[in-house]
Order: sequence, then structure tokens, then C-alpha cells
Amino acid sequence: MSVDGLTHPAVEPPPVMPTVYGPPPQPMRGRDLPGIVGVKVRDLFSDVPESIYSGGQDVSAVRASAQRILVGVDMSMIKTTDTVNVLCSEHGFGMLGGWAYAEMLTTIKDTVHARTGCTNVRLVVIAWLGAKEADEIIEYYGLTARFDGRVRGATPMDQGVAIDTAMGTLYGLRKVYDGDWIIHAHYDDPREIYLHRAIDRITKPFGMSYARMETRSVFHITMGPRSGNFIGRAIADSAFVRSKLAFTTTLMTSPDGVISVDADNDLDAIGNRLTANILRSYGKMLALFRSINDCVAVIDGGKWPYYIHAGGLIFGHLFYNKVDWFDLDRVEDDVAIESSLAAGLSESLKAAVINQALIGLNFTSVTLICPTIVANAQMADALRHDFANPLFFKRAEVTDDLHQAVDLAIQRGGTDKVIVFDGSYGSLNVSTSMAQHLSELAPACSREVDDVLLPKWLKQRGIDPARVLT
Amino acid sequence: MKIVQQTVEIVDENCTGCYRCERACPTGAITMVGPRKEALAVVETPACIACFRCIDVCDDDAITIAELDEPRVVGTKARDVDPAELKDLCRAAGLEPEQMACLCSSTKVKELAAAVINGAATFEQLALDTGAASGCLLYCSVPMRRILSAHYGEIAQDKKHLRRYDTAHVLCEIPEDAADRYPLFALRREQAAAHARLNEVFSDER
Repeated sequence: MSVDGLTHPAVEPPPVMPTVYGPPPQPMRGRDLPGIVGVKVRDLFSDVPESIYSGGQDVSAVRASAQRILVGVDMSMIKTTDTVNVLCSEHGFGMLGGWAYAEMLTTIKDTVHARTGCTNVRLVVIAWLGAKEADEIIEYYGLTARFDGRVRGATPMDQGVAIDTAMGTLYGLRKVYDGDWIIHAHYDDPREIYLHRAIDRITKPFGMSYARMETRSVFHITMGPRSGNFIGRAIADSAFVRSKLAFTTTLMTSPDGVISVDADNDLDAIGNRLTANILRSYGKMLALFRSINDCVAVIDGGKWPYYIHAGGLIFGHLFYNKVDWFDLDRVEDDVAIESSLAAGLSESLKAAVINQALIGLNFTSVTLICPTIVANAQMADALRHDFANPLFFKRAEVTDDLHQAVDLAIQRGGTDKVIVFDGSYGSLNVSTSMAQHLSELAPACSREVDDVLLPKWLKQRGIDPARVLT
Repeated sequence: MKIVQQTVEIVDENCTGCYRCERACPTGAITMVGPRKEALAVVETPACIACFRCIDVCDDDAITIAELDEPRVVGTKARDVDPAELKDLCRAAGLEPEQMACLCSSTKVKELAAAVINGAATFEQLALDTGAASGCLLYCSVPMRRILSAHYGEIAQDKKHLRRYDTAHVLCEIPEDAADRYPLFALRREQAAAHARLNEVFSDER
């Protein structure tokens, strides 16, 4: 594959939501850098499922897809006088600018109203940690109006509710479970595959987003790469949750964008479809990231650094790109999750630039593996007051602007292959040399995934490749 | 161990006495002073570990960050306590001494154990003596609870209005029947590996 004809003008990334948890949105974005071009993921891999939506305000295709699939979902358990909690997680708003997720949520509410006559359908916006985080999301996406005023935020520090599970008592959030029914409104972004390994991804929010902080701590401290996923499953399978779960919906995506909305009363059935889609849709782009020789990453989005997308993959996928995280047969995996991460630390990341991102999540490790340059004073000021990264500036440097930062990163890293993590799906904004590099790597990655890896990944999860790949 | 470079200051004229900062503080560095209906927040600077959670929960712009003249090191050195006692406490807690307990403050399990051996008896004192709980909170809850309860038995609630829940599960304690019921999660395999590691770490030869 040649780079000729492969590149196009850099794509417009989603705007960055204003927040107190990061710098003001930066006017200079990675796509504005000289020499940055766009590469479509479907030009790299033509069989990446084509999207119905890849960004912007026109979300009519998402709404139509949600309406179609919800026709087949049983809602007869919901009575007119019931209270229904639609559960959503902040990361869904970090995908494709967040408007697709917001539209799926709204369509759920509208459909429940229309089908059941129940009007007390409340949206629960579960943020990660910050007390103001949920309110910011609610305001930015107009969720109060979308849900007729019935919307509220929650954090993992809010009041808990005890849930008896197969592994003992765990604690969910009272605000999540205080309705007669819950609707689990998820997304299939593979996100931290280096933690959840695409095992039972559908139940992960029950042990994270919908859970008290102590329950989240259980996952991170001693559980292993496979066993850690049991926490979400144990909660989801509890009699308490099963008595409340009306149905599940999810955004189905590929690196190209949203490919559909799925929904089902059967959590396991939708979970298997979601898992198969993650492996099939994202496997080649992940293989491509593993193959990158050397690069400079520019982090330029409105979420925590690990979770900002480029071509539908997050920066974390590049940061931990040394191993195949979908492969469940790696014997060296039998250690606690956080220890297992070390095996995947990137050797191809030669320098990192932070133009904008949220603070509050430990990110100091990037400064330990490569030169790290903070591109502007506002981002630097936010990081200096970051409780999660008190030692960040022991190694990181600061420049006046993004141009200087990238020039310095190229100099320090010894490579001009630049990839911008700016929230984009469908395309990657990269330097010309990186476009060339990706185009050279893609054919071999495609063959390896088709012939060897995808069938193996599916079988490891008890999914018959013949059912998925035909 | 955490190098604390900042503290917080109260803007008295903005404080509305809502008590939210006091409830959010992991070390008890903030107390409300005065009659209940007129109380204002007061910060005990040496007890502040710069988590800024108080600023996050304040809706009144009543708390600001102030740079310290000299950074302050918050931590307890594991080598300052009896190694055998430290090992026994970690073993009783079912945690590897070298395991990271708090990424944000770079605090290991052995430092939590040393602080408890030195007298830390509450979550708040443990946070103050190690810097744990000064960051994202995604990690530290389980190791703090397990080390405290391994040493003291049942832990008294630090502050009656501070919410803590008693979840502190570890992989090795997941019941066998659950492990067998859910083969997808390889619980038996990973439990065996975890047991082997703990046995190696706590063998008398080491």
C-alpha cells in the first residue's frame, strides 16, 4: 500500500467540553500543526465495519438505529407508575464528542414513555470522581431538557447499597439502584483492553461505574487480568440486580464510528454480540498500533490522557502496545492486573506531547518511559495542581505552544512520525511519515488478524468463529 | 510517600458553613469551627496532604490552593520498623509488601503496614502518615482497610459522617463454588498463581 492517495486533509476533531478538571479548551489543536494529514481507517482496513455516524451534531442515524432495535425489546415489566433509572457512564460522552451516546439515551427515554406510559424515567449520569463532573456533562449535553428535568449526577463517593453476590457483599450506588427498574445503557469502546481483556465487557460498569469506590478498589488491587472481570459479573448476576434490570442497550462501534445501536433483555446475549464486535472491529487497528516502530503522540482532547481517541483507538492502546491483550493464553498474565500492565509498556512511544487533557488520573508513568512535553502554560498549571500526579514535573518539560512542543518532542524522540489523539473516529490525524508507516504496516496486520488472531481470540472466549466471520 | 507542595486556604468571607469540605477531607485536616449555625472551615495545614477534594466539593469558591514555601514529605519508611513484624502484618492482610497500594502517592503496602505498626489506627491517620488516599481513590481503599483490620481487628469508623464501606475482597478469598461456576474468569488459575506468589513472598527463607 502506498501513501499516495491515502491521505486527505486533517479531520476536524470533536470540540473539547469546558471543565474545571482541565485547562480551558485550547484554540490550537493537533490537526493545525503543519504537515498533519488525515488517514481513513477504512482505507487502511477496508473491512472495518462502516459507520452510520462518525461525529457531528446530526445524530438522526443513531436515533433511527435505536428505535429499530428497541422495537424487539420487551418493556412490559415497566408499569405506568414505576420509576425507571437509565444508567449512563461518563466515558460514553467521551466517544465521538458524546452526542451519539446522548441521543441513544434520549431515544431510550422516549421509547419507554411511548411504549409503557411511564413518565418517571430518570437519567443517572455517573461520573468518575469529581463532584462537579456530572453537572458539567448534564449542562453541556442538555440532558435536563432531554429528560424533562429528571436527571441527576452520581459519583463513586455517594451513598452505597449492599449487594449480595457470589463473591460476597459488594456495594453499588444507591442512586443507581433506587428505581423500580434500571436500564443499562452501555457502549462497546474497547477502551482499557489491557485491564478487562474483552472478557464480559458488558458487565464491567456494574463493578465500576455503578459501584462504590471500595468495590472499584477490589478490582485494581489483587484481582488478575481475567478474574478482575468477575466483579462486574458477580454484581450483574446478583438477585438484586436481576430483579431490577429491565434491559440493556449499547452503542456498537468500530474505529470508523457508531455502526448501530443494540438492545436486548438478555444481558448475556447482547454481551456476546458486543464481545464479538470488539474483537472483529478493533482487532486490526490494535494490531497496527502494536506494529508501530516509533512515534510521537500528541494528546489533545477532553478526557483523561489514556482515554482520548485517534482513529477510534485510545492513547492507552498505544501506551500499552507491546503485547496482544486480546490473547488470553499468555502465561505471564497470572499476576495482579496492575503488575500485568508492565509487560505491555510501549517501546515505540518515543515522546509525548500534552496539549490538553483532564487531570485527576495518574499519568506520571508516561514521563518515566519517554520525554514528555506539556505544550502550554494552561495545561501546565492544571497539572501542577493535579493531586494524582504530584511528581509529574520531575521529568516533564513545558513549552510556550504546541508548535514548540511538537518540535521538541520530535527532536527528543528522534522520529517525525506523529499521531494526534484528539477524539477522532474514522480517521487518524498523523504526520505524512506516520501515514506512510501505517500504510506499509497495514496489509500484514490485516492478514495476521484474519488468518490467525481473530479466530483464536473468538475461540478463547467460547465464540464460534464460523458464526461470527461468515 | 508523597511530596506535598501545596496546601489549601479558606476564604472566610465565602465560606457558607456547608460542612462538605470537612466531610471530604481524607485526613481530618479541615474542621468546622464555631457554633453550628455559624461555623466556618479551618484548615490544619500540617495535616493537609493536598488532595484538593475540599476544593472540588466546595460550591462557594471558599477554598484556594496555596504553594508551600518548602515541600513537605509525607510518608513512613518501611525500614524503620521490625522487618518480621512488617512481614507478619502484610501476610495477615493477604497482601504483598511490594505491591503498590496508592499510585497517586507512590505508596506501597509495606509503607501502610509500617505506619500502622508505628501507631496509625484510623484511615485518617494512615492517610496522613503515608500520603495514601490523596489522589484518585481507585486503589487505596482495599489495602488500607485490610492492613488496618489485620492489625486492629474491627476498625472503628473514623468520623461518623464519613462514608466508608467494608468491602475489602481479595482474589484468594473468592469462594471455590463461585470460581467453579464462572470458568470464563479463570478464577482458580489466577488464585493458584496468587497463592504461589504469596507463599514465595512470605516463605521463611526470604
